[in-house]
This record gives sequence, C-alpha cells and structure tokens, in this order.
Amino acid sequence: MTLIEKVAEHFKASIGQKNEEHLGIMSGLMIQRYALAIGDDNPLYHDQEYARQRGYADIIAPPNMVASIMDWTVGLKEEDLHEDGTPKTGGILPPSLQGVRVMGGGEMKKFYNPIVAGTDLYLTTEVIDTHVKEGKKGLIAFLVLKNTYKDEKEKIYCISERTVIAR
Amino acid sequence: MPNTKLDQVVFREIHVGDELPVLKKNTTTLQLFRYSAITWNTHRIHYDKDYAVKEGYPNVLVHSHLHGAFLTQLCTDWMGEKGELKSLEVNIKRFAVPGETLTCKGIIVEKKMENGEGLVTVDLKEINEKGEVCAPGRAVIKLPLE
Repeated sequence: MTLIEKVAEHFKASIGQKNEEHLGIMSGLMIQRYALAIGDDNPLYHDQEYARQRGYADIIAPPNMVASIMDWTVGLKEEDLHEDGTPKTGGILPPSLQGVRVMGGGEMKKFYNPIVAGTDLYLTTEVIDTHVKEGKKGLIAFLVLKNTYKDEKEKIYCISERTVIAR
Repeated sequence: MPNTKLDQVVFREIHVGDELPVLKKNTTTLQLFRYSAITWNTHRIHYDKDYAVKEGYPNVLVHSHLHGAFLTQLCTDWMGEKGELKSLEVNIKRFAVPGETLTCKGIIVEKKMENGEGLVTVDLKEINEKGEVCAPGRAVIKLPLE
C-alpha cells in the first residue's frame, strides 16, 4: 500500500468524526488588524461609532475572517512544527502518515450573522466527505471538513466547507 | 473605498450581465506577513522566500484565504450596507506572489426572489497581470428590493 493509499484509508475512517472547541473572543483589535492586513477600509470594520449608528453594538468582522484564522490557540513551539511550518500534531494526518503534500482545494462559506467584536466563539468541525481521484502524477485524496462557527447560545455565524487535498 | 457614499444598490435595478466595479489589489510581502500573523498561520511558504524557492516557486505565495478576502471585499464594497453576503465559494487555480496586482471582477449571472428575499448570484474572478485566473468564485448576495 502506497503512502497516499494509506492517507485515503485514514480519510475514509475519519468520516463522521466530530470535534467541538471553544475558540474564544473575537476582539475589536483582531478585527481591525485583519481589515488593515487585507487593505479593506470599510468603516464597519474600523469605526465603533460608525458601526453603532448602523445598529451594531460594536465594529463587525469581515464575513470571511472567522474561517481564515488557522489557529485560535497559543500555538506550538518551533520544534513542534514541520520544516514547512505546519503543525506536527493536531492536523488532519497522524504523525505516522507524514510526507504527503497537503493543500487547500477550495472552500464554500455561508454567512448567517455578522460577528460583532466581543463575540465568544465556538467551533464544531465535522469530517463529511472523502473521495480519491487519479491525477497526472498518481492518486489524489480529497477530504471535506465542515466548520460551524457559533456562540454559546448556538447562534450560527458562519458554516464553511473546506476541501483538503493530499497528494 | 466601500460603497458608503454612493447610492445603495437595489435588487429591482440590477440585471443579469451587470458587472461589479473592479477591485484592484497590490499585494506586498508586508501584507502577506501581516496576514500570516493575524490568522496565526505558520506555513513557511507565505513568509520565507528561500523555502518557497526550494519548493519550486519564484517567491512566497499569497494565502488562499487572502485571495478569498479580496473576492469578499469585491462583493461587500458593491453591495453596500443594506446588502448581505449570503455565501461565497472560492477555488484557487493558480498561485500569486507579492508585487503582483490582482484584479477582482464580478458579473451578475442570476437574479431571483426566494422566500421574499431578492438574491443575486455573482460569478467572481481574481486575475493576475497576465490575465490568468488565480481564483474563480461565486457569491450569493441579498439586496434590498427597493
């Protein structure tokens, strides 16, 4: 069995897996920094007074921001990262299956409510689909993850379905 | 600039085939660094040129989510404050490197009423200076009816 076939098997076995985590507070500073980084000067993301005049309790986050944050934890020490900078643990592959290239294969996001600064967020991650395809350079394994971002009252803000490709 | 001063775009006045105002983004190494920092993304391909070259690329790469952020802004700038971005699909077809100007374009491909809401579907494209598509996408936006 090749490594990529083992990865495909691992993906198949992970279908239905569900994980819940408490992400923490989306702060106004994070929102302002994110908006600055992407070069979006929409006052709803920067100006508290402006946002309040439009009915929000505080500034709001750009809709795609929440699903773009890769890590909500403190993070890992350098020695716990691969040479490419990605985490050795906590990813979609166990340490025994390292050595394949993993990349994003597109994302579908649905937005239900704007995230106001100060919102305390929770994330449910589910593995919902996997399939394989024969590419030009061999087998490619696909995995689809469904990420639901919500608060403690189960109010949903964003649902993202991300496809991950391993080759 | 976002559409804060212009007239609010409304469902009734939108037609299939209408194009969104183009959004141009000049990417820089600093921007990529900041995007890595704020999203707490440690992937070396976005900030270490030597590493990126070793992987076979000419420079560090624009993050897939940053491509997505540009296409998001194309939509939010156009829809105004009474518009609502309902969904956004983005695929990455081609890498981009800092220094490139990326141009985001959108065209209305569908207009429909659903549960009393006026929804438009927009075909999105982020293209590089050679005219190659880096990130195609599709958005559904709710607009005020009048």
